[in-house]
Amino acid sequence: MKKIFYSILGMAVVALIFVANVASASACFYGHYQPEVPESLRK
Amino acid sequence: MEPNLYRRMAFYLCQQNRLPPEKEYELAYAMEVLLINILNLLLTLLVGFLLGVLPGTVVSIMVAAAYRHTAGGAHARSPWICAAATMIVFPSLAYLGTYLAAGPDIISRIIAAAAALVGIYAIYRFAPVDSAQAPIISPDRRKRLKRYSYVVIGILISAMLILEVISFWRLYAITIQVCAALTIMWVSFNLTDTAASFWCLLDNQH
Repeated sequence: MKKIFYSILGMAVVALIFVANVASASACFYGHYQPEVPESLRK
Repeated sequence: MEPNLYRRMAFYLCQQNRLPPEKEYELAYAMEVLLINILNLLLTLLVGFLLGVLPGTVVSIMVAAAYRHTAGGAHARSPWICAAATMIVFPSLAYLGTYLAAGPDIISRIIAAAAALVGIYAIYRFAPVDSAQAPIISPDRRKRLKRYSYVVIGILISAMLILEVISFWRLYAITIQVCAALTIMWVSFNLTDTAASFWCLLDNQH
């Protein structure tokens, strides 16, 4: 059970890093509010 | 939601997966982007559904997402102002589009043609529009986003032309066309300096 939980956490991290990269690569992510982009993702 | 909550969740994920500390900011950013946009999307669709213009609202959201993705635009400083504005603007555009689509064909043609011209001009003159929170640093990236913006507006104009010649389900096709055209005009307006002042004014009311 614990193994499944940790693999889900791992998949969530991969998905979130993908979202962060897609969102920072675009000029805007649909909405009218833009959160602060982290320095490491600024291009 | 509080930014600290995103940070705490990101910190937990980083610890569990033994990631470097800088990834914590990226995870928190992704969570903020996802949660705010999903919440916005659901509330906007709900308002569209309650007003009886759900298909038009879906079209408006899709067009705005595609256009703003590459062209950018003015933003609110507060997520709550953004949520309120999104919930009002897109269903309103859908409502207006549905109403105008029921009128004479010439009206929808004029709106579609105006949207195409306004969209191309706005991209030529302003796109891509960045913000202090997400600056476009690289000139190459700026050029690329401008090029992609032309591609997106080209696809949207082509879609409007195809909808013009569709003869079956005529009213639905025209409704989609007018909703898309009105959304193009709204997003194009958001590229201007006037829109930046408008959002600033809204922020100051908060």
